[in-house]
Amino acid sequence: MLLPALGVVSMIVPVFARRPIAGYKLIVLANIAIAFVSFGLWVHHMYATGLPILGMNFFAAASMTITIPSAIHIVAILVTLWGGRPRLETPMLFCLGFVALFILGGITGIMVASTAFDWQVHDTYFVVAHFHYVLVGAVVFPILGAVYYWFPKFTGRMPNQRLGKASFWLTFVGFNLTFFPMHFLGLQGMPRRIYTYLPEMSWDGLNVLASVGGFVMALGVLTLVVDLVVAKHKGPPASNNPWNADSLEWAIGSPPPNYNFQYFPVVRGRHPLWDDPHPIEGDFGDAHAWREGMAAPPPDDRRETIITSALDAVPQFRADIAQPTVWPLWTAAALTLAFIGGTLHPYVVVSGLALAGVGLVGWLWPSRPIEEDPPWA
Amino acid sequence: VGVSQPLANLPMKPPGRSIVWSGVAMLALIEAIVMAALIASYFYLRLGQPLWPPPGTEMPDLREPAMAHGLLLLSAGIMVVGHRGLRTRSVRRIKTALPVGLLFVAGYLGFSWLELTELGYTHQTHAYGSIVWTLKGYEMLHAMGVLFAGLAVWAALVLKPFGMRASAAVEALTLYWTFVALVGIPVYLVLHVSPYAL
Repeated sequence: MLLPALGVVSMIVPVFARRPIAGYKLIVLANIAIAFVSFGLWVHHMYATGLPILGMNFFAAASMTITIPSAIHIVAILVTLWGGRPRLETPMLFCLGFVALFILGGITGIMVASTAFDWQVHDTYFVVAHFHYVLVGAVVFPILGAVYYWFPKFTGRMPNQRLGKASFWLTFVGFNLTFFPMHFLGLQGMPRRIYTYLPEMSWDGLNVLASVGGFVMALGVLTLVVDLVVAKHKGPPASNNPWNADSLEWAIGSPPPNYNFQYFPVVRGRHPLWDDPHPIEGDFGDAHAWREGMAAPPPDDRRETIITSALDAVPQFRADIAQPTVWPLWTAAALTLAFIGGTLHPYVVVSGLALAGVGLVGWLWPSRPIEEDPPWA
Repeated sequence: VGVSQPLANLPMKPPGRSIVWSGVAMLALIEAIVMAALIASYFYLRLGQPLWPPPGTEMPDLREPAMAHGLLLLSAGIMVVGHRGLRTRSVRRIKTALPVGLLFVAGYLGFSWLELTELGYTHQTHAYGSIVWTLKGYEMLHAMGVLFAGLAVWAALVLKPFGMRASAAVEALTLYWTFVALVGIPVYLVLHVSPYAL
């Protein structure tokens, strides 16, 4: 869940800091490390279930190790901001919110990674506070930022910046009002998953604060929804590249034409649009240019995709891909039957898998002759 | 940023091996990791037991499973030799080797199934039975996959003209088949030899 959000932040921050991201290779390595170490994290939810000491040590170590690549990523973002000239537009604000909240969630993460501490706060509001800082701060905030960032690209309309900023501040303040007091409630012993408690527990004040914060946050999300719905219908038209971004999707129209690129732009750097803001001007919206530029007209009787070399992305060949067909749906339905069948009877699993096998064969069966694939004999 | 040649001029045939082959190689890598995890589980379970196999359970058989695995290796060998027909463009060689190899796979599956039913314990009897059935079952599942995919490829070879995509399918099938047969060796060593040797 975290990795797409980290990707979003790594794309948005350099655009609004108006400089390339710092420590690119370190960020890539850190993300790979996060993906690997994540496999050893989940058991920190289960320290209180009675695990062998060896297991707890291993998973505590993994849970603490993940702070290293996460910190590398955060520091890279901070260095990017430090060396840049940041523009505080809505997507950037959500990314800055991510930095603040993810650091807070990370700090409590180190605390609950320790088995001894975790036993004390297990099933209390401290854990609720911690994982909301990680999940909302580190995942939802970047996703909201991403929606704002790419909204002009996929609708062709600009959202209202003033409403966007208001939405960010309401969400950010509301979130902290809701979840920061929960740290204290948890340390005071308030358990999770209760709907009421005795009056003498003196948890009232912080809970009222959290409730108020919840409404403020909801208002923030509502502002965002209103802004986007209004912008979808009445927003000013968006140019190809309203944020002066560096990546290739901003070279084509907003919203993109259904064929995306008519000619394949060859990228020779990490920031193609900063190297050359108008790489393919005049290539778009003119079907004749497409036809005339080709030795042969593009085939419209089948679907193809381009395969490129792995590192340099040099186009190498066209791969033939499936036509509209029922087989993927069949296979998915059969697999669903197989997996749900596990709760009924083993024979249902076997039948589901057999049906999925039939689906795979139907899917891959060489049904269409291809002129580039002549028979051998 | 520059503009390359029009895309429709690109060739259909990939340079070198087909991407199906690379995909199957990645699948084999993942399956090898799963197998390694199951083998690790075998020894982890063994650590917690004073006697392995548990009292009342016979020591594993050495001879018959060796013969079963021999059949599996032989089947892969036949397919490897048969798929050399791709180089000489001898489609008949492939069309002959494939069903013969599949017969040997079916033989391996039959032998292994008999062996499982004659063990005297099931996956529910004890931890030892659970891991033996899991490892053995996982291996047999792979062989069933080879049998199923092999039959599908054979049907396509018989019914359809032989071209680039068919040759990619034969190459990918041979790779997976070889992988399944080779993985059988460590599984045999763990299940049948390690209780005597370690």
